[in-house]
Amino acid sequence: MLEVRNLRKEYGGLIAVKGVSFTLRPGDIFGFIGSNGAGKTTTIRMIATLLEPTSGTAILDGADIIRNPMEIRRMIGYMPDFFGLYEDIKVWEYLDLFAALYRVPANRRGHVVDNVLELTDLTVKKDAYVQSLSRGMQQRLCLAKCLVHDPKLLLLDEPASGLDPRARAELKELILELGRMGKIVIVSSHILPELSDFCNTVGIIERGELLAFGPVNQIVRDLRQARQLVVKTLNPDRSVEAFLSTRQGVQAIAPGTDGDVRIEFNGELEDQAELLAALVHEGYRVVGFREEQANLQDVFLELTTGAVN
Amino acid sequence: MTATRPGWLQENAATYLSNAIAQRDFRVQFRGNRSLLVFGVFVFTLISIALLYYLQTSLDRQTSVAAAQSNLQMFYRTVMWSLAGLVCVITPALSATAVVAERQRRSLDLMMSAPVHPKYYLVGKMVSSYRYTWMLLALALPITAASVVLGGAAWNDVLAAYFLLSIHALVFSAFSLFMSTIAPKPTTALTYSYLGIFMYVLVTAFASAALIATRMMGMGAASREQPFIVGLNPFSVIEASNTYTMIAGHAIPNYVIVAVVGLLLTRLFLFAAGSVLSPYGGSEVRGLRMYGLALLLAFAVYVGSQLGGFTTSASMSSFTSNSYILGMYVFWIGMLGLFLLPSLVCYGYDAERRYRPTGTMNWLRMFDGTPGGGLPYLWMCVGVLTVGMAIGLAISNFTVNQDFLLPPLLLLGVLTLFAGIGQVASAALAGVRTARAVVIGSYLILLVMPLALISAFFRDVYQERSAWFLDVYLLAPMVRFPEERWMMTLAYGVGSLIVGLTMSLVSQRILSSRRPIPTTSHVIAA
Repeated sequence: MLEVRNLRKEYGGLIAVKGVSFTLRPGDIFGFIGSNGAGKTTTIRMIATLLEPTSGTAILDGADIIRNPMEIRRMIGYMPDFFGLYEDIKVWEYLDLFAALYRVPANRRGHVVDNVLELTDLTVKKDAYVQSLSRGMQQRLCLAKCLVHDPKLLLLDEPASGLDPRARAELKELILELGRMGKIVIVSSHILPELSDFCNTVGIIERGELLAFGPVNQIVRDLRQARQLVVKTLNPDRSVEAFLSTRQGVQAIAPGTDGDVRIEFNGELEDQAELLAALVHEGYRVVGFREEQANLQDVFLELTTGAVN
Repeated sequence: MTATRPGWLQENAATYLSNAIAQRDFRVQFRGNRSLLVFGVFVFTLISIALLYYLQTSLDRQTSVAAAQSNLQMFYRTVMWSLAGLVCVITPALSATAVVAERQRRSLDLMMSAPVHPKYYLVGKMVSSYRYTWMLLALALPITAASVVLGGAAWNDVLAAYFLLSIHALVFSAFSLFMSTIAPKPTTALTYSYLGIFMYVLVTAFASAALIATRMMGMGAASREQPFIVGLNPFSVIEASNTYTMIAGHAIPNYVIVAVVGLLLTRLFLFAAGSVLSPYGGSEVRGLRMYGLALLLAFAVYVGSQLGGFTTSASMSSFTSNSYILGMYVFWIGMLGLFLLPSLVCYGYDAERRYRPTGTMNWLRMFDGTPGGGLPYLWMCVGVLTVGMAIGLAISNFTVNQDFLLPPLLLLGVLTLFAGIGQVASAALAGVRTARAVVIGSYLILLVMPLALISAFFRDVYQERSAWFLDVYLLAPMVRFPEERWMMTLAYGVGSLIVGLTMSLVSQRILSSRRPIPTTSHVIAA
C-alpha cells in the first residue's frame, strides 16, 4: 500500500507541491492529471526519492521515503518523462545493467531479461542497439527496465508522450496488465481521455494542490450534483424553455448549439421520466431526451483554472 | 521477486569486483574500432620515440659505453615523462565528463532511482576510466622494458615508477569525477579538471624542488633520502621510485607513502563527489566531514613533525618567539578554509533543504551538512589543525609555549567574522548564491585589496603609526609593528571573534523578523 502524507515541496519563494495526500492499494492504476507545471513530476520525483520533500512523506509497504530511501528504491520502478538511453549498448545489455543494479542474482538475470522483453513485446529487438529503436520501443524498453526487479510501485511520468496511436494503445494494454498483476501504477499525463480508459483512480492537481482524488465516476458525481439533461424537440421555440422552467427540479436552462435545450436538473431517474412525460403530454414533439455524462476532461476543465506555478 | 537487500560483504564485493556500471562502460569502451585505433596510435608513437633514440645512438659509431647508457637513461626518462603527461591528459578526458554527461543526457535519474549508493556509481565510473588508463600504461611497458634490458634502468625502479603513475591516475580520476559532479556542463568539468591537475602538478613540482634543494644542501646529491612530496608529482616518479623518507627512524620507500597519500586523496574526492550526488546528503556528507577532519589531523601532524625538525630552539626574530612563528603556519594553512566557508555557512530558501537555516551555531549539526553546523565545523577544523600541529612538533621534540595559540586564535576570529558576514547576508538577502557572493566580495575588500593597494601606493607604510587606517586591516598583526605583534594578534583575534558572533546574532534577529515565504497564492495574487 502507498500512503502519501502531506507531501510538500518548496523552491525558494514558490510552493511547487502543497501538501498532497492520497492512498493507493495494490492493483490501483492512478492517473495523475494536471497542466504542465502543476506539480505532477515534482510529486513523482519525491516518491521516487530523487527529490527531498520540504515536509511530509510517503510510505510504501512500511518503508518511508525520508528514512528508508534505499528500501523504497528496491520497491519502485521509475520512468521519467524524458530520459536518455545509453548508446552503443544492446537492448539485453541495457536490461542486464539494471537487473545487476537492482541486485538480481547473476544466474537469474538472463531469465528475467527474457521475461520483461516478452512482457513489453521487445523480444525480437533483444540484440538490437538501443539507439536503433523507435521512440515507442524506447518507451517500452524504459518500462521494461522498470520491471526487472518486479517492483510493487510503478511511477510513470508522461509515459505516452510522443507515441503514435498504436504505441499508445499497446502501452495502455501493458499498464492494465501490470495493474492486474497487483502492482500500484501511478501514471501522470495530460491526455485525459486516455487516462479515464484505464485508470481506476485519478487525482487532479493544480498549482501543487490536489483538487480531487478518487475513482473517475465518484469525482464526476461529487462535482456535478445536478444532472445535465439535453432535450431536443421538433420545431424548437422559446416556449419549451418557458415550460421547462416551471417544472420542479429544473435549476437552470440554457439554449444548446443545435436547437436543443440544456437543463441542470436536480432529481432522481423517476423525476427525470416524469419530466419527459410532461413534455410529451404538453404536446411537444420530443425527438431527443438524454442525460449528458460528464467526462474527465469536463471535470478537469471545471476544477482547474489553467494557472501554473 | 523484489530486489533484495545485500549484506555488507555483498555490497562491497558488488561495488569493487562486479560493478555493473564498470562492466557496461567496459562493453562500450571496447566496442568497435575506436579503442584499437587509440591503442595503435599510442604504441606507434612510443615505438617512434624508441626508434629515434636507437637511430641517434647507432649513427654515432664512436659513442662510449657511458654515453650510450646516458642515452638509454634519457630514453627511459622521456618515456616516463610521456606516460606522466598521458596520465595528466587522458584521465580527466575519461572521467571528467562521466557524471555531468549522464546528467545532461537525463540518464542519471534512472541510475539514482535504483538502490545503489553514490559510492557504487562513482567507483564504477572510476574503475572504467582507471582501467583504460592502466591499459595504456601496460601497453607502454614493453617499450620501457627495452631500457631495462639495455641497462638504462633497473626492473624494480621501473615497476615502482609504474606503480606511482597508476596511483596518480587513480587520484586524478577521482578528482575529475568530483569535478564532474559539480560542473554544469561537460566542457566546464574538463576545464576544472585540467586546471586543478595543472595547479597540482605545479605546486608539487615547486614544493619538491624546494625540498630537494634543502635536503641536498644537508645531505648531498647522492643521498637516496628524499621527501615523499617528490613522488606526489607525476613527472618525478623516477626520482621517487628509488628513494625513501625517514619516519620515526625507519626508511619507508616513497612509493609506499605516495600510495597511501594517493589512496587517502582518492577517498576524499569520492566522498566529496558522493555528498554532491546523494539526494538527501545524509551519510555521505557526514562521512566526508569526518574523513576531512581525520585527514586534516594527519596532515597537521606531518607538517608539525617536519617543521619541528627544521626549527631550532633559538628565536628567529627578536620580537617573535618560534612558537608564535609555528602558530603562523596553522594560521596560513587554516586560511584555506576561507575557500570552503561560503558553502558551509551560507543559506537561502532558493536551494535544497540542506541549505535552509538551521541556526547560527549548532554543534549537533556539525556533520549533517546544514548551515547551522558550518561555523562549529570550521572551529573544529581549527582545533584539529592546532592540536595536530602541536602533536607533530612534540614528536620532533619541539615544545611550544602559549604564543603558539595566538595565530590560531586570530584564525578563529577571522573565520567567525566572515561566517557572521555570510549569515547576515543569508538572512537579509534573497538567496544562498547572493550570500556566497557577498562573502567572497568581503574577502576581497577586507583581505586581498588592502594588501595590494597599500603595497602599490605606500612603501613601508605598515610601520608608520600615523597610518591609522591600516588598523582596520584584518591582517594588520602580520604586517605591522613586530614589537607589538603578540598583543595585536590577541586583540584582533578576540575582536573579530566578538564582531563575528555579534553578526551571527544579528542574522538570527533578521531571520526571525522576516516575512514568511510567499505561497503559491501570494505569487498568483501578485
